[in-house]
Amino acid sequence: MNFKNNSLIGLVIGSRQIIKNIFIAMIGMSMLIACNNDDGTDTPAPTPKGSLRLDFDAFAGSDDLVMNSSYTNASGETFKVTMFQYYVSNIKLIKEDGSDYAVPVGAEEGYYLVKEDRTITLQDIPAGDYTAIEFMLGVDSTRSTMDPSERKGDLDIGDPETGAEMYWSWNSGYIFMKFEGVAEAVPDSTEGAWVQDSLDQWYFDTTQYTYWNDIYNIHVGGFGGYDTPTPNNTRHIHLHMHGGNTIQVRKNEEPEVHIAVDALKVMDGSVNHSFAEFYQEHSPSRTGDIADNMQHMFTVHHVHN
Amino acid sequence: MFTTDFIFHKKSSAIAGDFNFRSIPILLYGLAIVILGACSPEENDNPEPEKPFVFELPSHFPEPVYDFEKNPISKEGFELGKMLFMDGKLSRDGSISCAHCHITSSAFTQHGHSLAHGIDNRQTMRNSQPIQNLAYLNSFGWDGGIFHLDLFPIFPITNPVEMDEDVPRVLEKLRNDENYPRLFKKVFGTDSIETDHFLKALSQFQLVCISSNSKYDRYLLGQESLSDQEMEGLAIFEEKCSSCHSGVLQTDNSFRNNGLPIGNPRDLGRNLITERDEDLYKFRVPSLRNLKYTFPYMHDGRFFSLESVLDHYSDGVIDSPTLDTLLTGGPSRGISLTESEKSKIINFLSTLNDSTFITNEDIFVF
Ligand code: HEC
Ligand code: HEC
Repeated sequence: MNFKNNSLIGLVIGSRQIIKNIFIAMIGMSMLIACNNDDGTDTPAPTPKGSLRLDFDAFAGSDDLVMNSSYTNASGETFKVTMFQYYVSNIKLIKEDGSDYAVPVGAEEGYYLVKEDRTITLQDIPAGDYTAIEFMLGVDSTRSTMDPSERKGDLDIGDPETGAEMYWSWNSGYIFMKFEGVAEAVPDSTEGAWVQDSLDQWYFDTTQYTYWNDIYNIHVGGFGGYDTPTPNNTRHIHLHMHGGNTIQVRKNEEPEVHIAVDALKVMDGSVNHSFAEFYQEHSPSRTGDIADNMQHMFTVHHVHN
Repeated sequence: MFTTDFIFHKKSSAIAGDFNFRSIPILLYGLAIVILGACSPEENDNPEPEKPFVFELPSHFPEPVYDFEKNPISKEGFELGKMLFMDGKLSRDGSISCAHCHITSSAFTQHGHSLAHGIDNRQTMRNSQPIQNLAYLNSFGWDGGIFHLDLFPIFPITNPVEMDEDVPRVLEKLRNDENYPRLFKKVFGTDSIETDHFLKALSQFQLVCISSNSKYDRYLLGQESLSDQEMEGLAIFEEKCSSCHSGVLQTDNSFRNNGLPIGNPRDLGRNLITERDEDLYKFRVPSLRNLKYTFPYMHDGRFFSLESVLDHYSDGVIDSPTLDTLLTGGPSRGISLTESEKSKIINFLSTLNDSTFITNEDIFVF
């Protein structure tokens, strides 16, 4: 990163930058408050802090999503899912009165890859009753354009479990969501084939004239471009608790929020995609409506307080 | 401010003056140059004293784009990067190093190939680019898809037709190596070999590969004069070429369509990154340094001589919706050039060759 380019980014994402700066200032302020409280003399009692678990449960309609079992999409095509994972970041907890707590983002924290068997645990949240959760689906442009020392944790491009799987090397940026599997509707290829090398990596071999093996790989990414504006496929999700429910964060307790994520909505939504036409998708400009669809796949299922 | 010692040691037996980094107004970048007096014990045994070896940015180059504060160059970091650059461990089967396609003697391109060849002799889509003066670029690759030098290695490492490996496995191999953990610790203070340390070490080596000692550089610095032919060539170049190939590095770092007939229809150039119609078949304007060593030319290495390049500009430019307007302005498409103008331009371009760069033993990789 450099100053010249920084200013260019500034132009493209100016408003987000401001929000981000305010946000950083807020974190700074909350840290100051925390420090004040720590010396514990005549300052008011410290705000108690608690933790919170976010459990994103993958569903297919109203049932659990089971990898490798058959489902049918709105276009009537059957398909199986072998991978479904995505980044959640910039999480915010909101109280009834509109005040909020933003979970800090940094080199090591605040970006979470959600995949099977992974839950997110948030620490040091000010105690209180929260009525809504907000988060970003994807990785914001500020973090996406930082140098690699500012992207550790789940964003570490060298971590086999997370970042290494979710990165476009030839067009620098994170893949926000991967939805992969097999569907018979995927047409046979006449110009090459997806084959696996000795290390099970898929690649497109133009010298082979076999079939697609029915494989679909839907990859959504695109943070808006570094110096040329390109599609921004990050999305904001706002989830309100139903029926007067709250998330009660308390010291020494760990409420659990179960969020149901309907994987069928990846392909079906305001636009219903058919595997016959939409199966190898790796470009930000073609996957914006998938990102739109995904905005509607989250609901709060229940909260354990 | 950072105070890394930008110092390398070099045997004084090496030809004096062959080290080709020019001094810069050091304060500009806040680099503190420390002259190391003490040598290690073995070196003291050597009757010939070590000559301190300083990495400086050329005074007549623009301000670098690369943020050296985020990755201060050290002798050990540079050497580690060089070792990584030459190491086949970065590829799936150990056979392909970065230097396989970036050979010093060809100004870090892959000699003799139009399209670079990688693992199992698989062919890539493009012509290998020189590793030179990378601190001054703001995007990398012919289409500029990679916006930070530190991020570049991920592309060749994971590309099935280049090194066909993945980054976690490379890190694992390095962590299990008998030398690397110690060497990383010397540079980054930890032997855990983090992703960013691995990438930054590679950048350190590549950043030191600065070519700034051509005849043209010495001319700019008032140390040597150009011949009449070369001066005339320079004047024609400035009139007809430098709107794109501008400045001391002969590039404005923009993406343009210079009217080449479409080669590989899949290679859409900059459009592959931005997906905008106006970027179809545009490629980054390359620097024209060291052309003597980097042939063949263009993103797909289609031209094997500078004569062919100039014939393209005078007679071969193809019209298309994204053809650069600088090539449509004249009475006919392209750039009007007489044969004598062409040869003068070629005379001038030869002053951009820097033989000390490709023979510099400190950056020599194979
Ligand atoms: C198989 C040959 C091959 C290998 C191996 C290879 N490269 Fe390259 N390199 C290329 C080609 C081809 C390009 C042009 C890429 C493009 O535009 O798509 C390139 C471009 C580059 C550039 C961009 C230079 C510029 O001016 O923008 C850098 C930096 C680079 N390579 C560094 C490396 C490093 C570091 C490694 C090892 C980790 C490496 N390369 C391995 C062939 C190779
Ligand atoms: C409209 C902008 C433009 C102008 C004017 C222009 N060039 Fe280029 N030049 C480019 C671009 C863009 C490329 C890379 C094209 C590609 O690879 O597809 C290039 C490539 C080259 C190359 C190949 C370099 C390499 O490393 O492969 C040479 C040599 C060259 N130009 C010389 C010249 C000369 C000499 C002139 C003046 C007669 C000139 N150019 C005028 C834009 C321009």
